[in-house]
Amino acid sequence: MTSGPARFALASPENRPLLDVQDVGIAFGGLKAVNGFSLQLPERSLYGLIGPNGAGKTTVFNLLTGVYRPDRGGIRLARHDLTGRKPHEITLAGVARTFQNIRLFGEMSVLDNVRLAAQLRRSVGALSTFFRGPRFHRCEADLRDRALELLDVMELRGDADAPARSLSYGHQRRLEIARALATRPKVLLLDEPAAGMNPQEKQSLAKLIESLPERFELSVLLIDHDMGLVMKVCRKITVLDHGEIIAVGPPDRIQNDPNVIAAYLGEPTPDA
Amino acid sequence: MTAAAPSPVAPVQDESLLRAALKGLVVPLCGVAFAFGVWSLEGRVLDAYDTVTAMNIGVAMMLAVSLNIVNGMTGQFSIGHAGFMALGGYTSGMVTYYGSLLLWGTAARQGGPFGAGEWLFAASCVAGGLVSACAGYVVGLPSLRLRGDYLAIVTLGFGEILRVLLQQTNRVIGSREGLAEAKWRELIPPPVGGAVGFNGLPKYTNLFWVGLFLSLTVIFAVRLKRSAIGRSMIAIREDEIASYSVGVNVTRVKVRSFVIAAFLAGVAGGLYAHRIGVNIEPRDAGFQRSFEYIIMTVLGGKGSVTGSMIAASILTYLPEWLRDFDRYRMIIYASLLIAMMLLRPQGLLGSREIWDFLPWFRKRRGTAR
Amino acid sequence: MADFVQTLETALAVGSLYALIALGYTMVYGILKFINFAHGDVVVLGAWISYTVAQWCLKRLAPADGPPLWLGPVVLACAMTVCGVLGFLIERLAYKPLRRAPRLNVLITAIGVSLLLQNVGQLDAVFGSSPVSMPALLPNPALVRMSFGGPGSSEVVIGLVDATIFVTAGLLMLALETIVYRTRLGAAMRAVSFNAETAALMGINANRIISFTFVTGSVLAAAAGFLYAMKYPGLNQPAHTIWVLLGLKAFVSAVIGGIGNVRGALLGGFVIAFVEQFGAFYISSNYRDVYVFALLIIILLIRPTGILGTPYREKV
Ligand SMILES: Nc1ncnc2c1ncn2[C@@H]1O[C@H](COP(=O)(O)OP(=O)(O)O)[C@@H](O)[C@H]1O
Ligand SMILES: [Mg+2]
Repeated sequence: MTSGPARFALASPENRPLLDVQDVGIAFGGLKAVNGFSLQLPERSLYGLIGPNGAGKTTVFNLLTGVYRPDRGGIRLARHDLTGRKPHEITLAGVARTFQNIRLFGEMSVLDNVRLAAQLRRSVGALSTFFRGPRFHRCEADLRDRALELLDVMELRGDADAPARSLSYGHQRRLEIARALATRPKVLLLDEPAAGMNPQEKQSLAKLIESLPERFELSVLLIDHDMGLVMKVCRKITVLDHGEIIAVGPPDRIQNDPNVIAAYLGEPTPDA
Repeated sequence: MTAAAPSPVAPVQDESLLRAALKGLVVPLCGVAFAFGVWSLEGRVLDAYDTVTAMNIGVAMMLAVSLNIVNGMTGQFSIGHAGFMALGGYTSGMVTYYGSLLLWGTAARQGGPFGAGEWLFAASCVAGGLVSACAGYVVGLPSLRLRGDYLAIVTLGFGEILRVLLQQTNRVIGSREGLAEAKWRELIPPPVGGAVGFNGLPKYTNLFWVGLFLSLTVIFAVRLKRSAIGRSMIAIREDEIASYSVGVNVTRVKVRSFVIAAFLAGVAGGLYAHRIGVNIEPRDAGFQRSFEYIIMTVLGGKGSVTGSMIAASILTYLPEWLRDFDRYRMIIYASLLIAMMLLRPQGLLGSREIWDFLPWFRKRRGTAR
Repeated sequence: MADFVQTLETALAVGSLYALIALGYTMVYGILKFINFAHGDVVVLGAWISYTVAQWCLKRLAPADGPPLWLGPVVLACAMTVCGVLGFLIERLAYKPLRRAPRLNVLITAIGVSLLLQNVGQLDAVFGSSPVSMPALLPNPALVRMSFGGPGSSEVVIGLVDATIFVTAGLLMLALETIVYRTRLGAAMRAVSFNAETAALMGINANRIISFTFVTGSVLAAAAGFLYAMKYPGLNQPAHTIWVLLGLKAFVSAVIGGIGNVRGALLGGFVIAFVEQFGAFYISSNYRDVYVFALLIIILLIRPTGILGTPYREKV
């Protein structure tokens, strides 16, 4: 952030991407899980990230959210340099995610899962926690209202008091999205949100994802194995295979790209 | 209760905020009333022996509840809790003992109920808590880098190091003159009695102070659990990676939980050191004692404040019931621990509180709060 | 100089004991990923069984000119057998039902087992709660005398007992190293340790391997207990702090060497013994436990997974 606003004042806001990923890579032992990954995510956009199993998609998310530190490359969000920052700082800067293998706080109530995420920029000290002054109550009431609002959006209001682990699979996925939204992200990373959902649920999920950018003023980066969903929702798609980008472009071009078809050979490629 | 309003999304009215804030103060005042209440039983309903048992239970509850903040709520496994207790006990002992020597020329009790001596004692407990909290900060720091069982070993190492260091301390100095003439080598390491323990502390602890500090501890723990800080703690217990992904500063929360737990244990240590019939010793810092508190928290349920309290009172009262208990005490504890893990790993109450079992309360506490 | 060499010699002897015990901790951690707190108590049991058997034999035989030479190995074999069986039982009864439980629960169970062993051992019907003196099973003549400097200066003595410790511990470690790295069984152990599920898919019976690991670890612990009793004949009662500290230091050895790593356990054992013995001799023996734990904390802060441990990265 020492670079100062002056450098960026030159670039016009339109062509400056919200999230700018340059040539990041990481290796586990000898395996280059992600190699030379770049991505420019414009504001309020819907962007897809696809690839066969083990291609490195989840690893990209882990790099973007600071779970892993990239071996090389840089990540910027608007004016913040996120490279090598701690995960909670990255969330604070405005990147939130869901997990492919659902990671909810199982024992906590559905409401508390969201409320925890909503409390990100509101801190109350230990003393205030003990005395419970008006400030404490106002803060808690705000958090509750905001959490309930999000639960309404995700149609989870009825389960607010149930422990998160008691929800059905599809509900848990939606709760993950609600929780991520509660941190007020500028970029939302969805890791296979439709996995395990039935066609009906998928359809309403697609509608929901499409509405997110305008409603919450954010950009979505979507990973999913359901090609129909990704092709329908996303304006632009990046395809990964063996950690490397093999294609970038709008859905119709991706669908007919010979490299992509080759990469998916052996795996069913719906709609292709 | 306006809090149970049918439409919680509606903005909360300021009036109810004011009421809630008032309630914030009323509950601690009830704690004070409780302290007076139990104190008034002393000598009437409870004879000297019962009083000691009651004080033991109170102190054990404080330790179990505070340990539960680290082990149960935050899910960090600390096996050094007795170390914090002993550190608080020794610190507070030094304050009252040497404070009394300097102020009044004698280490004996000074003044009656709420006399000068008792206020010095109350302050010394808080001082013990603060010193313990500092140690908690230092011990909590490695938790940034260490996962579960490694952290357990570090906390265990802390208790053991403290025990050894306490054994190497100097003799207690008996008089004001002795203190004035003492050379450096008699003061460092501090004169707290070495291996034989800290003799001669004025025995200020009574049911009032135990009741007061206990109720404040419990109120704090319960309120913590239902607050932003408590939620982050429980989230870390449930899933550390998910916690930092929603912006929880995992490091800070973990260290904070250590500091809070250590503070409360330090205060309890002050009460313990000044209890009649107790001579605080280096052994009190050792892991065998820490294990007793771990057993209480495990038995009570992870993160359950009232569960820890129930377990603490059962395990402290059991010896009074079972004759010959002392010989079999550790065997019974150990079997309880194993049986618990095999049959009911979530503990007596799980992570719930006793009032969560009352349907009326559950309804009221729903989404509205 | 003589002091230095003598301290070195003690450190090597103590280090071999730590290493033997540490192996048990490390093998179990490698496979089941939890600290078997009860392992240290198996060592105590080994020592006390050695004492009981030796005492019983000596009473029966009442030899006129000292105990026969074969008695030592027999006592050792008895201790190893009993502890091996015990190790098997502990795993089957206490840990196996918890295979799928959170690791913290297993850790707590292990603490429970440890407390149980200590305190049952201390019952009057078992070993009793007062210290005893281990009978000398070996004469302890000086095998090596080294003197540094002129006459009258102190000399370094290596006795038969210390030599026995080196040889026995060395042989056992060699045997373990061979099993782990040169046999099919060892390969299976390493496979289960690397990834239990994949190993199971490849037809390895994980339960058998786990049992074998516990038995091996307990057998080594028994040997360590026996050797410890030979070197320090004053045996304290089973729940005495000294035993707990012995177990802890061995555990610390395993951790700083890199838990889960067989060679790390050896390295750690010697490192801990050196720090402890040299610190005790050159600084102050009052603080010997402090050196060990201070070293532990320093090493964990620098390398959270120990000297030879591989850095850990949780898969998300
Ligand atoms: N923490 C880790 N340690 C070792 N290998 C990993 C780790 N995380 C991911 N990998 C490997 O990186 C590759 C990419 O994985 P991932 O990003 O999960 O793929 P996907 O595209 O299916 O989400 C896989 O081969 C996986 O085994
Ligand atoms: Mg994936």
